[in-house]
Amino acid sequence: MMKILKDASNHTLLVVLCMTMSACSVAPWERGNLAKRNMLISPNPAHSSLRAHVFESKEASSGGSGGAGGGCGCN
Amino acid sequence: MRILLLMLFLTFSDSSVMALEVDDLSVSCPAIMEEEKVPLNLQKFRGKVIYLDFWATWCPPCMKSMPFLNSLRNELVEQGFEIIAISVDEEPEDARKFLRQYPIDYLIAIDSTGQCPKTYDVKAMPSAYFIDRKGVVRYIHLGFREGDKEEIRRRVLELLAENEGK
Amino acid sequence: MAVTRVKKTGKATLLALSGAALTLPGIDVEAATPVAEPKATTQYGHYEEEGDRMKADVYHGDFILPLTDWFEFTFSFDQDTYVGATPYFSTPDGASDAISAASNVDPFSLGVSVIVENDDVKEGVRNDIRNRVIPPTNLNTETFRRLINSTTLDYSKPVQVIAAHPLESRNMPVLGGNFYWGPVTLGLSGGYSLEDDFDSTFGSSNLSWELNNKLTTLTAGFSLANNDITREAVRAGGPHDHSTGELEDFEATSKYRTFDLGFSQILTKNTLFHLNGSYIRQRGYLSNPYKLVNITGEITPEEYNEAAFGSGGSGSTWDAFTDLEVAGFELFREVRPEKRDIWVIATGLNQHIPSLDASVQFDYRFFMDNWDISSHTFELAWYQDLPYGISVTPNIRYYSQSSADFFAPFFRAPRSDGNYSSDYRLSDYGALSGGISVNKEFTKGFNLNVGFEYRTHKGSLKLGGGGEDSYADIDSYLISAALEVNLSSLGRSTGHESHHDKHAQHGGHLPAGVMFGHMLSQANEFMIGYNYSHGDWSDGYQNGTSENISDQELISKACDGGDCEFKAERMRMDMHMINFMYAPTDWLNLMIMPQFAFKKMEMEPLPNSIVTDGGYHDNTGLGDTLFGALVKIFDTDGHHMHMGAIFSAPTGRIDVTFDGFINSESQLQSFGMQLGSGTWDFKPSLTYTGSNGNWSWGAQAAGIMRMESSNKLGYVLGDEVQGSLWGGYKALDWLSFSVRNIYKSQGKIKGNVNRIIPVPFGQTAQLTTLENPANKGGQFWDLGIGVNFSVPGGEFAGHSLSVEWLQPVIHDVNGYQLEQEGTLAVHWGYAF
Repeated sequence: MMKILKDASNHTLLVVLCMTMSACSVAPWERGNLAKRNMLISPNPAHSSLRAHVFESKEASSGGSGGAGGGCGCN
Repeated sequence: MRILLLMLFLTFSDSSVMALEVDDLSVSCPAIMEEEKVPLNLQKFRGKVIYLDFWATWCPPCMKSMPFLNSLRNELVEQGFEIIAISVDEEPEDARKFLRQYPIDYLIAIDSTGQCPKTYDVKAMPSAYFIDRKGVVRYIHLGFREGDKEEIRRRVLELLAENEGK
Repeated sequence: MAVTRVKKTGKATLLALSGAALTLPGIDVEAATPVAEPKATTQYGHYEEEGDRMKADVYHGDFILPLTDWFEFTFSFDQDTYVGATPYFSTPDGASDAISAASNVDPFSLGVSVIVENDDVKEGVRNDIRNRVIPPTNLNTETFRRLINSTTLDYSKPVQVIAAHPLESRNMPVLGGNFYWGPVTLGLSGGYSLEDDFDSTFGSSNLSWELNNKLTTLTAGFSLANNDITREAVRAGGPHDHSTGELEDFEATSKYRTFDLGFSQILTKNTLFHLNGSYIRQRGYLSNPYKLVNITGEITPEEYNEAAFGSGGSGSTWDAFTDLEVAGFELFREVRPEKRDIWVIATGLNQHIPSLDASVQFDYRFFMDNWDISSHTFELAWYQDLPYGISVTPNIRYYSQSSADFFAPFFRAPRSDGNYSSDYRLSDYGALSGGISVNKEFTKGFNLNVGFEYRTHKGSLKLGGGGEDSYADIDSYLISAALEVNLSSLGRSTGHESHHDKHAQHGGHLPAGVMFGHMLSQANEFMIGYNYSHGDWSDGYQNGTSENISDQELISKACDGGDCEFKAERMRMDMHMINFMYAPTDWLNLMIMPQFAFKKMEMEPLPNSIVTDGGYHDNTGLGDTLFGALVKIFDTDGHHMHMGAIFSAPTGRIDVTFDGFINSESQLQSFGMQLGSGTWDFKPSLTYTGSNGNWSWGAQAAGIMRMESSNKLGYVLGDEVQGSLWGGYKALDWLSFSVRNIYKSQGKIKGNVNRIIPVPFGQTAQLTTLENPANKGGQFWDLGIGVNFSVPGGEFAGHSLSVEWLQPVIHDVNGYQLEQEGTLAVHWGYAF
């Protein structure tokens, strides 16, 4: 639990720094874990769409899902 | 403070000082040949045209290239063409499981430590290094698309046509 | 949840606009990521609220097809079918009782007829909001004043009045394309969302750009939707119901525009971070034309008196007293602002934990708009990988929203801005949901995902308190099952000739209209297939083999002992079937085949009828589900025979009614318009196929045996026997033709529906000739001509597409039936 909180604050720092520096780069051959289905922004797109559809019908809010990025980064 | 200094140092340090570029002599790196269980030794392959392919089971374009590479290799092996495919899967068992299901005729090597791709400064997955009969890296092809088949074939034939040198 | 008890006579229907249509998936676009392989997904979802509230079935199918290295084509289709009850309006507790006591009159007699007891919506619920307001004549100003100012009302306890909702469907096709240029991807898509009272046309575009060695992705998107909202009064009670007044036809439009920006960054080889923001601009008619609000003080007691006894008469005088649309005593149509500006910001983190072989995803979204609504959404999901390609994902979601400034359960005084809504979805509340989903990846590029989620909506769950009273609390659940199939054979073989290459080169092909005629010949093989058939019946009636039956003959002979008011002019049926087949051994195939039906019937009044207008009905939904086994009898060089033991489970509705309400008081539609047989049926078949070089031939004997003597409505469809004989010729590697001869004998219907509802006028219970059980069945001889395309080898090996046209040759029908024009059958299959 504490580790997760510590990771969260470390991540904020990383987000800012990683955008600018090559130091925390992830090499193209190190993307195996990021390519896993469970690490995609939408691992089950049909399921996510169905849930979003149900929530948007029953709540006043909408949007905020989806996005691109991550994955294997293959050419 | 120390972390910041370290980061600054790393930013300005060139991590690719060992990287291979076109016209460099190819080097061996610590990958283990799957069938013979010995380390990769590119010296052995001087005189042949080598297609050094970096692949992984989590890379769909890599999977897509394999049937084509397999049939290209079988077609040209007599002329001195060989493919050495280095799997960079962090779990070697993932690569072996894949190969048990989809057997490949060309040579497979496994490097789960990341040293081989680093040595070759792999910029994309998959990456292919065309090595001529003298052992020199002549061309680097990044990625794999359907339209690349013709070009790969053409370059291999070009390199095969060059005279053997020692 | 407490509900009020209100009684009413009279009939009518309420067409409630499902909130499902108000936000559209076309707006909420997912930025595209390149797909290396063609993929198809099909999904079924079922949503249900507690009590007899809303139930919805959601069907989805889509495919992505890379056509060149830089272009990918996408298509998706969704259908929602919903039925049940939804909140109509809310009042202070005791409102209806107080008014009944004071005046001996039903308080909402001007438009409401709901019977609700003990939180249950009873059968026989109707709402006729189409009636013009006709105040009861025994009231006067004083009585009105007493009613409005009743001291027995409990304003602290709002109570919801629930209205039944007829069966309705929404269809949404979307077409799209993705273009790839190096690090940039452009996605374009467009489509329609269509339902009876809400039609939307939408389009979206989005751009994504990968930088920083593909570690950073930036996205920008824009989408647009134009919506047409209608409220059709006429259709509500069905074409025959002219006894009630009609609300004005209502037509309105709205436009939504969405702008989004997104950013994602890979932080470590196990961490992905993403952030995106959207601005949504909605303009136009944003209210729900079926929801009402209870407002005190909008119309004074003097004004009620004036409306009841004044010179203008009923209905026309309301405009003098209010701008709002009056729907009942102290009841008005809700009004939401015509402008809505929405801002959303969402962020998430995906973290992989290698030591546990798991990933955790955390998402947060903040939403706010100019209606004063703001919300927070927190979601956490734990993806646990397990052996055998299984992944289990428990998840939890917490949602909290603050209400719109024009929301209230009821209004004790009019609002200066003229905006009112009692839709509980705009109130202050929190919702907590928890679910679990299981994913199984089969080695052949088949992925199955099954999920369950339970959600509880409670005023008390609002973050920081201050939520709406518990009257609107409701629980619901969602179950779903999705199948994803990789359509390319490349994931499976690496240059060694795969068995399905040989498949496609078999001498023969099966005509598209032959069912269960093909078996998988190798163990561990899968097949997924899609069948479509289209049938048309029009061009007059026939009796036996005599055509061109006159209307007079129909009137006197086609209806069971009495007159019919209408005749069906045209009937159309589209069936979509998805077939999943697996061969555990080389002599046994197991299969399951869900079916979806779209049926439409157009009716015209017969000359003797007092009705002057025709109309149409359509039904869509799940049909009966087939499942069973195929067993190989012999398979030698060039000859093959197998038998099929297939069963049909009665999953298709047989209680579809003319007015859409699913209960025992509504008139049922005819036998042919129902979506299933209502009985468990057995469908045995024996198929023989042979081939020699480019020639092929086959024969099939099949039947349908009803396994029950009657379904739950009191009848059973006739048994069927069918014989088919065909020949084919392979003209090219990928093209073959077929000719087929089919004979079918279909029995009459036994029994009749046990529900006869007298129509408001006329002497009989039958509306059309199609409801007479004697007008079903017969003997049919058709000729089929077909063509088949198959992919012999390469990346798409294993795919085949067949089309067949069945032309009626001689039909000898029982009783009086519409002439059949012909049937088109299409089959697409992929074996791997």
